[in-house]
Amino acid sequence: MVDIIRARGDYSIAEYIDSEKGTVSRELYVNPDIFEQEMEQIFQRCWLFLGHESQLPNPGDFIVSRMGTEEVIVVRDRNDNKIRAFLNSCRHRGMKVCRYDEGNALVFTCPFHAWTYDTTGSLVGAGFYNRPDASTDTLPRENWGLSEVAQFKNFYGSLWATWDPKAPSFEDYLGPFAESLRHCLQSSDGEDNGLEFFTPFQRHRLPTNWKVPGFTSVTDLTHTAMTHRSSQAAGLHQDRGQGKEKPTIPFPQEKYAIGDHSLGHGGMCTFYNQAGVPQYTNEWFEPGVDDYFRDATERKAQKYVDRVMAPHGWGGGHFAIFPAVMVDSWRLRWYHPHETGMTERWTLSGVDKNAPKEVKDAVRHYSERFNGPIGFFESDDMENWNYVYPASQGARARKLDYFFRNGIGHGKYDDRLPGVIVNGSYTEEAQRARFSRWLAFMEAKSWDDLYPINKSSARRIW
Amino acid sequence: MAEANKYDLSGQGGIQVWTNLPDGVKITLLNGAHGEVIANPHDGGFILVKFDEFPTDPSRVGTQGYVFFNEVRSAQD
Repeated sequence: MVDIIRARGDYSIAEYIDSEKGTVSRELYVNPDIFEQEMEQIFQRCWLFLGHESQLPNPGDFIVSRMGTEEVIVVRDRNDNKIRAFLNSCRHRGMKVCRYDEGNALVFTCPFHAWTYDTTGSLVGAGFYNRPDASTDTLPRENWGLSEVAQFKNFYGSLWATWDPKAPSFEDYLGPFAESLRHCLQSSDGEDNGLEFFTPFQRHRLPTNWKVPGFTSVTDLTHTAMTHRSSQAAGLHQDRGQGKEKPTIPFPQEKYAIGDHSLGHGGMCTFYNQAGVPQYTNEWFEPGVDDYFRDATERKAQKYVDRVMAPHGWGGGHFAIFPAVMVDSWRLRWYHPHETGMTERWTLSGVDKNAPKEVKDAVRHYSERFNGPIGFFESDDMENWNYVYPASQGARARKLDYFFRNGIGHGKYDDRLPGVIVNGSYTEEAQRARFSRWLAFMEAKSWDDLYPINKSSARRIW
Repeated sequence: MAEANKYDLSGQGGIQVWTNLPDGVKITLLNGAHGEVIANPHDGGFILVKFDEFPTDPSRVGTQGYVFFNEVRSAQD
């Protein structure tokens, strides 16, 4: 008998990460068995981002989002106005009950046998149910509604869910990053839940493993100089306007790469060392837009006159929530695994919900220049991501390791973000933190092994 | 000669009639139940009806329910 060898040797999951050398085996990115285990151990357990409430403002509005490889219907109920999320799979024979990306529905009718669900996910009809010759007693409809997520959270307008009833609350899942996310969902004048997001949003299908953009590249400062050099050569780094002015009033702040090895979150981070907000500097081509944002910044400054802003990333955001969400002050980007070597990236671009039309138009145009199909910076990144996978999956290539040692051992804890390792801006601290948490999830039998977490150094694998 | 029912649900043409049946139309089910259309999802399968008669289950009088096209005998204003 010949065994099918699908991985490099007979390793435990933990042995694919060498914390002494600071390396990660490429098997983690190319092995279908590991991918399947990730879907079970990580994407069935973690809180996952679904979308934003501004995408479904009216009763009956829905979007089809994803949780791992599976589709979920996110719908605002027609009666109680509550938003819920359900697996997009008919309970009868598993057909998709919704085949649109978004819309407004009275019910979701399965095209196979007409099992029909209302906006609470309840089974409200089935073909032949009311016919005289039907045996309705054999279909207890109350037991056959759509499969609903175990926990759902509307966090300042952003929508999250988990399939695991034992997962901690969303705020506990975020830990010290809860305030950072809240801040990034504020409008420019500092109002909570102050954003709306443009629809339709941007989707890109990437022939690569989800961790290439989601783990390796999210909040990776070192890639910018080379990857985006051509964009800089074309002058596209002045992407919003004629070059950002230098502030005339210094605002003390420190910039780091950070990683929470217990929770897996982290990225680029700015710590602010005084109350208030930095001075607004002009940066837009379009007339009137700088005036709007300058006024908004002044209003925010009044709200923060005696408050220090929560740590968040450069440019207002840019940190990652485990497993695969990247947060900016104006973008929420996340990575959906489809197969070992196929990923879909979704980008929600936001703008102040109360901004005038000309400001919304300017921000949308900027988003399209940045992210869109003819955009510049994101296509730079995708060029790398798309070639990483085929160049890493061959019989020879997969035997090698990826290097994640940059800055290892130089990080330290900082009281401003309890439990989080703070390290130099160009280090790979955030990436190492993701793999620490990745390993914990892959080895855990349940959430009992994952939370409450032990924040002692013994939990760190690096 | 009797006036043709504008909500003729029979045959190929009946599919479009059913799919676009407007609110307020009265329908009669094969089981003798009777009610009024209160919402149409336009999916070609179901229509939401409020029942005013339900001989086989009187407890459903006054309730709403989704009715499948092949459970219906007729529709009229």
